[in-house]
Amino acid sequence: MWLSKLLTYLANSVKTLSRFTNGVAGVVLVAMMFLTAVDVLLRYVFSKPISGSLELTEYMMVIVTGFGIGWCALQKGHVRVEVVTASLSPRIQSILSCFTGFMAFVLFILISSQTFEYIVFKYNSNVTSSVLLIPVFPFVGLLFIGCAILCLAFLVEFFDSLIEVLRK
Amino acid sequence: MTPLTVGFIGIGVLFLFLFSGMPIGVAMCLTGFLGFAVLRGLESAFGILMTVPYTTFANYSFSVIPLFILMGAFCYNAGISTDLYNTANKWLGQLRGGLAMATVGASASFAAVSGSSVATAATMATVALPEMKKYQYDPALATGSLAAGGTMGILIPPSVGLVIYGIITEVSIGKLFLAGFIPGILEAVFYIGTIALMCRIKPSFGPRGAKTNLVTKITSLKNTWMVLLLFVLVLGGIYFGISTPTEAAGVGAFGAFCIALGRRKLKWQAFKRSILETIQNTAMVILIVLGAMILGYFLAVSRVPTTLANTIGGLPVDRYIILAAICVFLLALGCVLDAPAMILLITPIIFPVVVNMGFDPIWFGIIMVRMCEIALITPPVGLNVFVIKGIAKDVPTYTIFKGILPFLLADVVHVALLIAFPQLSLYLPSFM
Repeated sequence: MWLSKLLTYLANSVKTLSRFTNGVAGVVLVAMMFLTAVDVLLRYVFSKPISGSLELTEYMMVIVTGFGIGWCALQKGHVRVEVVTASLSPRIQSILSCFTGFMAFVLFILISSQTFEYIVFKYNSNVTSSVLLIPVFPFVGLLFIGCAILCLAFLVEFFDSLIEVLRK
Repeated sequence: MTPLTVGFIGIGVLFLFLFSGMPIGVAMCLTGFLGFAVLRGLESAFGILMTVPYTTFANYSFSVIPLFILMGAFCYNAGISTDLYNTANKWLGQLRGGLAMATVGASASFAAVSGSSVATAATMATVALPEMKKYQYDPALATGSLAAGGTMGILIPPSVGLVIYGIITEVSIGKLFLAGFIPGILEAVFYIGTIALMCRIKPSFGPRGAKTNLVTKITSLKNTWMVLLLFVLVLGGIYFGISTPTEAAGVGAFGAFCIALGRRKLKWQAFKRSILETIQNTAMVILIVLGAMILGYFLAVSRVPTTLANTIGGLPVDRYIILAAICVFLLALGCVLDAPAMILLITPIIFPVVVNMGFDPIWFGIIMVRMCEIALITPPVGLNVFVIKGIAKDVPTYTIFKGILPFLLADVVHVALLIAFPQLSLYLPSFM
């Protein structure tokens, strides 16, 4: 069936992509830990804090959080209330899962497109961080990538449930 | 339609979304967006979707969340729990029910370096269960003490629950951490007291463990210095104003990393696992935080929280009765939601009500997290119970819930005490 072939291709692509971004998020998390610890040490022992550590942490947070949300969705890591759905028949569960997957997909299409507009806005207005003068727009771009991957992850979830519904 | 009506319909829709199995963060974002679009127009709602995700994800104060989770993950994967349990066992094991008491004591100590209840319960279960099995402890007592003891993870600082409460209410996270200290210790004392009482009534529940002399007891303490050091680094740093909670979390994570490395327990796989677990948990929380932010805009323009605060505050009923009702409501909600989700979802609505009645915001944070803890061991969801069940595969879920009952009673008395004597929570923060 062409739909399941397409789905397998899509699911594999999203998996590869999100696993990669998740790895990047991990590396940045470790860097963020070192940055914070070294900053405190330098400030209190040598009275020489790392300049711009606050804004660097903010930029790192975009990657730590934004690059992890897609993989988390694929692992079904985003918590849900399952008490009610667990007591329903498998078919109704699949239909509901179709609905929630679709709604989540639509929401993140909107968030992704708005974030894209935000990149353009930040680029045109030339906004930079206040100490190190690093432009903001590339980091909004990274968030866009994270949101787009999450969007695709929800699309996979939607198709998965749709196939389940059609099969029953 | 008045904004208030739209607000209440919005809350109804939110619960419909939640019960349909939609990810909690998505349900909150979607309701917030739709509600805001109805009240302020589609263009303004799109404006929120444009700016709020970036400002939420690139937020310095929120970096405290992954750093504290990372600190706990390093401690978890470095096997610190084994040392903690062995030490507690040397001190308490020879008493009646001593192995279960040691479980509670070790859980409380582990909670001092971890902000997660599930991690605390899971790590202790792997160490303590085989030991209690060896001494033929009653399975209900063994699993009950593990599930209940584990809940202390989100009360004893550092606590992810308190961090989230602090972020959403703008109450000082440092003060919240200090406020959680005495109630957390008291909770451990209550649990130990419960075990003592149970084993006094029925000694076969928890036979005495091996006897140890004073020298063994004292030498066993050498394995626990790192927990004490981490705790002092984190809480001391915040208390003496040396570091902000975010910095303390960074230092704590770094400290845990060094200790784990020094003990040669942090192999590459364990290191990788710690990082990946942290990223996943952070992603899970941040999506709900995003939901709470967007939903917050909608609730603010609908005026639901302020109207509720004024209406409930004006009721001719004693404020403690309203507080009791809120606690019951929180408990019911906690039975179907996990702690971060519950705090993020309900605080924006309930917080103004509570503050308007004249209750202290820091103290209420402790009560709220306390209710989340109880919800962790209450059916039908009771996350900690299922964590223990996953490790104690031969013990029926029913037996675990049965084992939890005495601890639930202790919880009720403990919460009543915290409500009756707010100073138990507010004494330490008053020095900051």
